[in-house]
Amino acid sequence: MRRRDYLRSVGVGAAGIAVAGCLQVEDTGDDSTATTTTDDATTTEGATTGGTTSGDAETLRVATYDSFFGEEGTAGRWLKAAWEAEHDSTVEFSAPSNGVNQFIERKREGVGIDADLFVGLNTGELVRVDEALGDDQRLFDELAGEVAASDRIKDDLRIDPQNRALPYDTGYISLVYDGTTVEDPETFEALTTDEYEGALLAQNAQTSDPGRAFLLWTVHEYGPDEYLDYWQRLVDNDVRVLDDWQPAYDAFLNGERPMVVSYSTDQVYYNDEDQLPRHQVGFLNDQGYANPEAVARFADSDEPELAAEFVEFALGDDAQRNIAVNNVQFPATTTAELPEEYAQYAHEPPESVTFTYDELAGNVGEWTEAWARQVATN
Amino acid sequence: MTSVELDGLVREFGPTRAVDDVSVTVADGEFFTLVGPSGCGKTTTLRLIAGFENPDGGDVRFGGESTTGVPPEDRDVGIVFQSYALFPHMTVGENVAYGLRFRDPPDGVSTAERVAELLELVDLPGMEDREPSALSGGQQQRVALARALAPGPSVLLLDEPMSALDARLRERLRGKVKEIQRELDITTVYVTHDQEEALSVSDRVAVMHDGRVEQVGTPEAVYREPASRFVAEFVGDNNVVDGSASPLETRGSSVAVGSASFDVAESASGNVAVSLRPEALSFGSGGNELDVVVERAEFLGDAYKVYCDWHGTQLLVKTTDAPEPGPATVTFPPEAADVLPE
Amino acid sequence: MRGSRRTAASAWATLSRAADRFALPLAGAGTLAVLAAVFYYPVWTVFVEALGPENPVWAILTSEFYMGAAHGVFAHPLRVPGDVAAWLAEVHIVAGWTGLLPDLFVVHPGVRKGLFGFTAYQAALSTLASVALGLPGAYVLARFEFPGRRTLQSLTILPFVLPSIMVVVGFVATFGQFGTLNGVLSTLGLERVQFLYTLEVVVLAHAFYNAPLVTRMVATAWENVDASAVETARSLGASPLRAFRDVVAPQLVPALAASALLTFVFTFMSFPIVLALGGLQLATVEVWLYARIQQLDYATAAGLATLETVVSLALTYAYLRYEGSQSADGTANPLARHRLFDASGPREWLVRSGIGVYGVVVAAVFVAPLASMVLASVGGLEEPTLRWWRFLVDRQASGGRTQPATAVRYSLQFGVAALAVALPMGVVVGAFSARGGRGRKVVDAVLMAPIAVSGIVVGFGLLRSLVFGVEVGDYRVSLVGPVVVVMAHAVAGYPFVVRNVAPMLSAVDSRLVESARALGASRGRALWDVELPLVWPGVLAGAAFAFAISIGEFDSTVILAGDGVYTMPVALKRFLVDRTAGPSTGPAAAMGTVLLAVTAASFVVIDRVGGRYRP
Repeated sequence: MRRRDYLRSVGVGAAGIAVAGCLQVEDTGDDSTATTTTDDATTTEGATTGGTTSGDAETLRVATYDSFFGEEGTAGRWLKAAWEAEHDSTVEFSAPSNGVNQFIERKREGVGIDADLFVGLNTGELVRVDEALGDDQRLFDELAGEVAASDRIKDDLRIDPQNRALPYDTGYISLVYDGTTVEDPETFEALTTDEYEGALLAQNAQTSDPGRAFLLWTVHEYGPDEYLDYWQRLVDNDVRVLDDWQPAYDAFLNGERPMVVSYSTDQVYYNDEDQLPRHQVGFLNDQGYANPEAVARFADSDEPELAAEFVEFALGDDAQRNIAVNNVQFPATTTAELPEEYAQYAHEPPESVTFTYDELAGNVGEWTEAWARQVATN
Repeated sequence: MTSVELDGLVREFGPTRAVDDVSVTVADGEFFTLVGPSGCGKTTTLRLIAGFENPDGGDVRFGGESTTGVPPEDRDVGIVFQSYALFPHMTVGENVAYGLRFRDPPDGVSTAERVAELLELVDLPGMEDREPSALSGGQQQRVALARALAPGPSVLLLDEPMSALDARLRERLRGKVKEIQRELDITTVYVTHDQEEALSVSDRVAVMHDGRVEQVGTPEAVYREPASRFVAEFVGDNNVVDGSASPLETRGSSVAVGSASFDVAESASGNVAVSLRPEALSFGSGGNELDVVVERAEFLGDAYKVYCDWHGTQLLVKTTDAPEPGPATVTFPPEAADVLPE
Repeated sequence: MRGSRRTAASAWATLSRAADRFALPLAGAGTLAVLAAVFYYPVWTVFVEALGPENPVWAILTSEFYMGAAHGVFAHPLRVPGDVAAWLAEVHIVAGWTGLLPDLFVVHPGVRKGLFGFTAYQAALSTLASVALGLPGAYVLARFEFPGRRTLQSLTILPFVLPSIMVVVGFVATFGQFGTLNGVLSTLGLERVQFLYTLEVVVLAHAFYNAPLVTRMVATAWENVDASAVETARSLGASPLRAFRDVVAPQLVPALAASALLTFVFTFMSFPIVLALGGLQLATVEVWLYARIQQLDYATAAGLATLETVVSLALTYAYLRYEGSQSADGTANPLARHRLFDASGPREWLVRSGIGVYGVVVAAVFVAPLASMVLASVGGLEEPTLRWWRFLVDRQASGGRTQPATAVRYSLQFGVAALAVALPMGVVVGAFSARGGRGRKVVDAVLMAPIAVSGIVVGFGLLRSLVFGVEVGDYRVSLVGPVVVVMAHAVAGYPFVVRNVAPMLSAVDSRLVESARALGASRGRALWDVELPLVWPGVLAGAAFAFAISIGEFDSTVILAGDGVYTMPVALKRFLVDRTAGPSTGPAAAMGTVLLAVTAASFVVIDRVGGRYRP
């Protein structure tokens, strides 16, 4: 089954497609649409479409990553359409070229934030925000108190003790392996045996999300004192650490290596009979490393109430289901349910593990750099 | 209407002084030549006049006005280079007309008329549409001259313009240049390493050596009364003989060279250098008599150049008939010898 | 009436004269202003971190991780002689007998290269590979005539514009376990070879980008060899080989050295290719630099950037000196080309079969990755499909955020606009480079810095300075938008215009310029009227490079352009992360094919319009 057919059958986009017409950037041929944002590097969507922003409708500015909202069928598009159908305000997405770092830098330099919400924050990034800005500068403010639905967030996903970042979905890092070539390794130790020599593709934890999550998973398993030894054994067993998920997964698809560090939802894309055997999900030690994506509100937001309202909306059951499906992730709340067909192929690990904010604070940077130095020893 | 005045001109390239305190005044309408061996600074001097180089000291004045800070395009000069420097991507007509893009043609004629007029002047009428590469060297050089003259400059600068041409053409062309210069009455500074050329066309000549001017004067003065040993040796074929002079009782002096000696008309004493022009020497007897050995002779058409050995010193004699190799006697009157100033 | 007309006319004349006179100084000032705004200042904001109290440069120099064994020179110089002696004492020369042949090898303890050492090592290997791969190409293009030679020559610039993401996809498809090459090997009954994730494949990918540079530069030098010099040597008794060694080779060496140095600089700063094809085990300085910026460790990043730039600027300076000694003077009497498909005698057949082998290598290294990208856009041979092309058409028709045709249009607009800025900049700097005064080589190197500073540093600097803005009084002045994108593209591309134009300009007789000036032309006017028409081939060659750089540029486009403004590589990247069509490279491959077709067509047009290129 093709992915697009699948989406249609789940019926995610009914509302989205109906409203899609007015989401379009008006005549992209007109250069002025680009020049109007000259005070801001972030790319904007919708701000310049005259019709939707006219009148006294408020605008909610959401900074996120490109693939969250870029095209139809994305979680961002669904959210925008569904929200605007019910509310007299507009959602405007932007994708700063270097993610949350852009806002850390803006805060440091005293440049205006020009956004209300940040969507797509992970625990490590939250730690980085706080370590970079210290206690005197607050990039995000407390949000959970204003969002009733935050009570329904799964306990093991509550990453921020200060209640600023609220997870809206999560992925589980797992192995994806070609069942026609290798057996499920089942344990971390198995990956260092001859059977799996030259079999695994991983990603650079310094720059890639799943790569970082996989590294943290190994730290979780072996502890801060032992994980480097484990990695040395992995390296000796010829693991390859590529720069990002895309080249690693592409190499896996090309049969270059039979295992890749990826997401446990892999079969959502590859679920017909020929493909399934080649797309098996492996949970090492029966675990999966949870990599929740969170939303946080900028302390400098001009629309704090509206922002809280939007987060409330995004944590509603309907939104949770649609975000998860469109983002090919799992809901963050306990009450949301996934469509059966989707759930069939999106596997949840028997045990979900992750590091909390407090565990990562003061450590994640060192763990990552020490790891990178170990792997890159020339 | 423009004189060119060089006042204490200095130009340095790194540690070397290419032009070292040169002061010369070229009168309005004068044909003035800077002559000297390569590297003597004559071309640099010309470039200073044109404004392609800026002096490190001194000044260039046109008609009494300083040219400091005046870029080349505002100096109202025309220049012709040895390499012709015709714009290869333009026709002959476009080349000649180029300067008229910036200055109106004199006498209110149209550009086309002016171009035709100048091509006529250099004996290349109707060649407007030719490509420079299709012309002979001499023709190209005449186009370059026409191009330089087209805007009616007040000073014409010629940088070795004939050096790339063969001898016969060179002679014809320099006659042409001189004729045009007379006709236009244009102040002209001419640079050449060829002293013969310098003597033949110039009103006055400046002989340069190591960045300095050794002598300024009419061609005759420079030839006949060289101001230094360098000038004597450089201008024309010459014999410069070192000797020791002692005054004679009557008049003049006797110059001893090794065991031999000869008399000169001037009074001098001590170590001297004496210039003996080859054409003043002849074979025969009377006056000073020098015993030489004839080594070889070169036939020049109208005369012979005879190379002789005089007690180890080479003497050049120019005569109408050549003696056989072997011992001979060279003669000259004391007046023909010129004792060079120290 | 008449008087007033004359006044108006003379006022106009005065004005146009003033315009003439100030055109060149203004263009020079404009060039410096553009450079300062979109290059020097942004880059400076990064480097200034290196001067901080932590002294990151020293920390890097004394770190074994970064410097390898060489860190001792900085950390404890006094121990260096002892360490070297100790190392030498461990070196053994082993001589043995394999049974057939004598066997001689040297055993020595490993020397840790460190990040910088390894980066230089892989750059040196890449340079060797690029030369080995590019030199025969120069020979074929310069010495043989065959149908399509000119087109082929103009297409050698293509690898320049390809985003590395697509090159990686192409390389995996070509050199992977189940790639084209291994497919061929296994049909031949040979064993499959693991190419990926080796230093070799990284080096090969570098050669993919840089061998064409070697080919173009050396071919140009070869075409400029005067046939009569070779004939003279032959008449003096030299064999063809000897004549090549004594007459031709010395004239090729400068071009070869210059292209090799340029290749070294480029591969020294290589980034995405290394990690995607080699993995973190083969990390280079640039990889680390990027990671440090991501981790907000600006001090270390700036330290790395500073050291990296010192190396590449020094090499650029050396390159300029080499270039200076090249004769750029075209010859009217080049060596005659042989007809490729016409040989007589065993020697000529041997040469042609050698060229045939080279053609196979070229097909594997250059054509196969490109072809496999095109193939990937139609789903490969096994399951051909047009769905990825339909995807592009859908994106266009649905009026989505990223429309392929819009991307093509913006790419071409930026390309042409960047060209319009880069050409005058390059010509002005080229004129200075060719005719400037003393110390110009140093100034020249500084002006060429855009090719010597890493793209990551420039991008990061742009973000912090232009995008965030600079405080001027109470205002924060921020410079972004299409105009700034064009400027950034022009700055990235103009060094290539300079390098194409300057050597040719210096070969133009300065007397021509002086004649024009004596006739009343200002310096700028003389450049325009006399020099430019004569160096036009060089200008066009530079134009091709500037255009190529603009088309292929990614980082500063993303950073500086708005969301509605995107070029082909940006669209390609967006389609790559677009999961609505599943995790396939198909849409990106289709976009990459569009990119390839549009740029190939552009280059053929540039070539047809303007003669040959000279890199």
